[in-house]
Amino acid sequence: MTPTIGYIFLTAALAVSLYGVFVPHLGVVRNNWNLIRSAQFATILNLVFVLAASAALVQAFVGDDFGVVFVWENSSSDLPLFYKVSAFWGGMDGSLLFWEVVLAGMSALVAYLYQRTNREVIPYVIVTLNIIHVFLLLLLVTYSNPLATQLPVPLEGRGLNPLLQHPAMVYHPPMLYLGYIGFSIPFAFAMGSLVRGKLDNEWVVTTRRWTLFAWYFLTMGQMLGGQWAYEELGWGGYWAWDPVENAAFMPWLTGTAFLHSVMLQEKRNMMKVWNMVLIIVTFSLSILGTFIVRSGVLNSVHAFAQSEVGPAFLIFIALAMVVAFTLLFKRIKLLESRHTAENLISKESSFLLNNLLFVGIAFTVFLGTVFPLLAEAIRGTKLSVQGPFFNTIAAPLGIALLALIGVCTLIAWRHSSWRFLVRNFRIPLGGALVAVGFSFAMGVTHGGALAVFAAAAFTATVLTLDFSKAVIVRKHQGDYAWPEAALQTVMRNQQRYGGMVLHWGVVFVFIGLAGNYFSREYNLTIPQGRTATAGEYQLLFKGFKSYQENNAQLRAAEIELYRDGELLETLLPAQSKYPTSAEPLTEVAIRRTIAHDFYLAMASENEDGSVTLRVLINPLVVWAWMGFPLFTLGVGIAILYKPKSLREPALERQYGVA
Amino acid sequence: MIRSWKFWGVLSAIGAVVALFAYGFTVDPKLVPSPLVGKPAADFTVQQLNGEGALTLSDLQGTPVLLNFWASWCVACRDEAAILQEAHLLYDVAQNRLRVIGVAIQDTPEKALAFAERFGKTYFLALDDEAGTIGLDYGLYGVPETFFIDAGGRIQYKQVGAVTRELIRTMLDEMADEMASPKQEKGS
Amino acid sequence: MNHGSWALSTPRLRAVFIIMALVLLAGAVFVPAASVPAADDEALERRVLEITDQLRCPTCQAISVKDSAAGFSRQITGKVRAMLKEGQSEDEIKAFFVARYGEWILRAPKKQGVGLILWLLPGLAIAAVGGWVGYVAFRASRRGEDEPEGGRHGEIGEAERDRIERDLRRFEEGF
Repeated sequence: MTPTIGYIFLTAALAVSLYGVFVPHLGVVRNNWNLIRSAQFATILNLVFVLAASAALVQAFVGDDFGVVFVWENSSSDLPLFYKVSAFWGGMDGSLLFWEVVLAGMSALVAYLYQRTNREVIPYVIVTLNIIHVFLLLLLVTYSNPLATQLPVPLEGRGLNPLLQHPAMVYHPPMLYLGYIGFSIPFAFAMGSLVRGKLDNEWVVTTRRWTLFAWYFLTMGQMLGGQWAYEELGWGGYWAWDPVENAAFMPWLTGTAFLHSVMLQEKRNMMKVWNMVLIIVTFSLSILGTFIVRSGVLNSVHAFAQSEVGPAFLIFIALAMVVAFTLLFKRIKLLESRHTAENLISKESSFLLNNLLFVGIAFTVFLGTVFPLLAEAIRGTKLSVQGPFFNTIAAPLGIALLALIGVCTLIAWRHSSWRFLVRNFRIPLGGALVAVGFSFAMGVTHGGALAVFAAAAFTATVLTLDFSKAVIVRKHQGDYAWPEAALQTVMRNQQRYGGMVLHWGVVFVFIGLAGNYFSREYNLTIPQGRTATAGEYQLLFKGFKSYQENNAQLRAAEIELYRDGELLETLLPAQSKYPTSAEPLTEVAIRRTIAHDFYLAMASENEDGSVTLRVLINPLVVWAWMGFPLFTLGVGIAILYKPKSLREPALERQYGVA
Repeated sequence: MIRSWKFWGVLSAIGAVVALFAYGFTVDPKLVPSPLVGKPAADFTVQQLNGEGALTLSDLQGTPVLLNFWASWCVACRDEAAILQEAHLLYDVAQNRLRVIGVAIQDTPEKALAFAERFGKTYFLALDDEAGTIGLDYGLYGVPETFFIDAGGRIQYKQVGAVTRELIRTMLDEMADEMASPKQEKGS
Repeated sequence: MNHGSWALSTPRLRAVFIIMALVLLAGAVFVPAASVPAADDEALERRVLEITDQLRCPTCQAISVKDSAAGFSRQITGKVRAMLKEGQSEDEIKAFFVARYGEWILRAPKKQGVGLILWLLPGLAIAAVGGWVGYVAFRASRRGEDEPEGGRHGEIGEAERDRIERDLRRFEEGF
């Protein structure tokens, strides 16, 4: 398949998307279900077409067809096949096509899954999704065509950015996209519900799994991005509060708020307007992320070069938000529920506080991200807003959220009393106290770290007690063995205990993050054959070594790492040269233990034969990576839960809470 | 139409954010204006790279100065090498209207000299010390960066990236005007 | 439904033991920081790292001078060390770089002028929204108390009792 045929497929995809925008509405107006069926079919056909276009691009990458501009810009013949395929999303135009493919896949799934259900709203779900398709495909066939060709055909490509030649870079962008785009589905259902005025909880219940799915991939995508930064960029951290990182973090924050507050709607019929607001904001922020990456408006290392698609994205976000909010306000009378928290001390209140904190952090991140622009507009000076600001404001809010997990687990729906709280908080607070005392005894004196450990221990204690209590009850009820009782407990309430596993993941991630408060750093210059000391470690520099790895030429320093005279490991921090890039890259060597990472980067090879090293002792980093299995398991359990059917709110109405 | 003040509040918020980003299209986030423009240039004394004598910046007052920071490892410096040499020959040697000085940073004397020879530079070249005293005093972000200092010893303009012939010509004219009417303050 | 079961139930001791073990386990892996008084040099280096962490790397821009290996970052680090040795304060050092690079070099704006908007707005916004939501919730809960559905205030009526029963059942079943 040639690039030209691929391009024709893109055009065809645009045509079927336009069909999908107009025909469902026609079907509703004429009350002709066949028209709606045909639009569902068109949505599936769209997937086939964009897949065909993508196949053309993949073929061009694998076949080193540098006549395709995008392939020439992002690949070279020496690139391993693995990276030739992932170069698909290594540049702007290709990543836009990738975005479209993922959205097309999800849209087709929606069209396929809800053929018989959700009949009232599905036509406008299809319309909403196809509007997004039309926008993306318009960009793809005009400004941002990844299949554009050039003559004469260059003999060699310019190569993939060496920084992107890392396994995490193969998985990280697709995962982020699955997350970003996943939120389009609940958004589309929300819009469908608003258009039809079908404002019960159906859309929330239907899209519950989609939301979890999107949240999971957005989370994984960001953690993988952190891992990539940690291992590949060589500066020793995994999160820099760069505008592009913030762009991914903001929809995650509002998405997480949404994930929690839909439970209030599902269980207590509250927050109906707020959930609409949250999904509109989350969707808009996920598009805004793409805008920030592509517009070059904010200063970011990750950003693609400034391009014409920036204004197009901005207009799209503005229109989407205006239309969505107009629809929302037209229906707001129908949505306003009379349900509020009945008592200030109740689970409902803790959910409200949860949302306030998440949205508060999102607002902080947004303000900090755009503030340089704002300051320039107001006062005409360039300012920087980086880690020191975000950490100062966001960390306390984050720690409050961590403790809130524990509080929320303890507290009951509707009603709780102070007496009850005090009694039940005694042991967890004791746990927190023990943790602080212990950390202090171990020499951790940083207030921030102690606060995290206290909150983590509090919440961990609550989660442990809560679960063991339930297991004990289960065991006595059914005369089960312990493991079976535990399994039964989890499977009988997948939502609650899936959530519990997720929250354990959060506890671990926070413990890992707290390590940042007391990391240590040393800059050492060691002559060959000599030893230097970094904290409790001794480093013996044996000499330099050169070798080849894939398409990179490496120059490494051989370092023997000792502690108390005992050889632990030989580390090879290196600098690598890629044929297509002038600047050498840092290849760090990391020795991971549960207490801390020994992080070694080679800063320079000096003319006198010595080596200059940057040594970081980063405490507790591996704890943060525990989030990977725990989030996976937690979402795996929670996604099994099937909300009780929609008839259930009758229960609510019967109570008639005034 | 919708009456709710909340709706119009939301709409205005959207409008404000969009306006802010639209404004973002008109400015380059990577371009940071130097606070040194309009201020007296920091004084320094340096040895000439080839060992022939030294120079103190304040001694040059009375004639505008083009102070160029460069390095042998810098690619854009190669692009502007010929232009700077040309400016030296034309405005300095022939017309005596401008002094051209090049200070290499983060470099070794050997490499810097080799670079100067390769591009046939004959103007005053020096090397910043290892601590980067001069470079830090001028708030450098990278190389090449070029400062235009007027006859009164004030920095009139800072160029990030390679200079062009037009820029040097324009700046010479402006600095001449500046001397004629010293009240006028120049921004970046 | 026994709300207070944690305090009363048999596994209480076991639970306490579990947390203690857990916390100790968590604590045991922390490496003690150097408890001996740090040498002068070490204290100086710590100050250097603290200050360079607040300065933005001019070359790489995304990270701090501390985290950067770029030439300018190394020179800035050297200058900071030299100024500290001369006895200059953190503010003086920052002022030195701001005069040459502009406020851009500070990784967080000063808490004055426009910078104040940045530092105060998040807290104010959260407090304002939190206060408003809290007020609405409080008023609603008051209203609920003023108009009890059955019986006199403080007495549980038939409907209310029924409602609590069902609620508790739901609570046990799930969330």
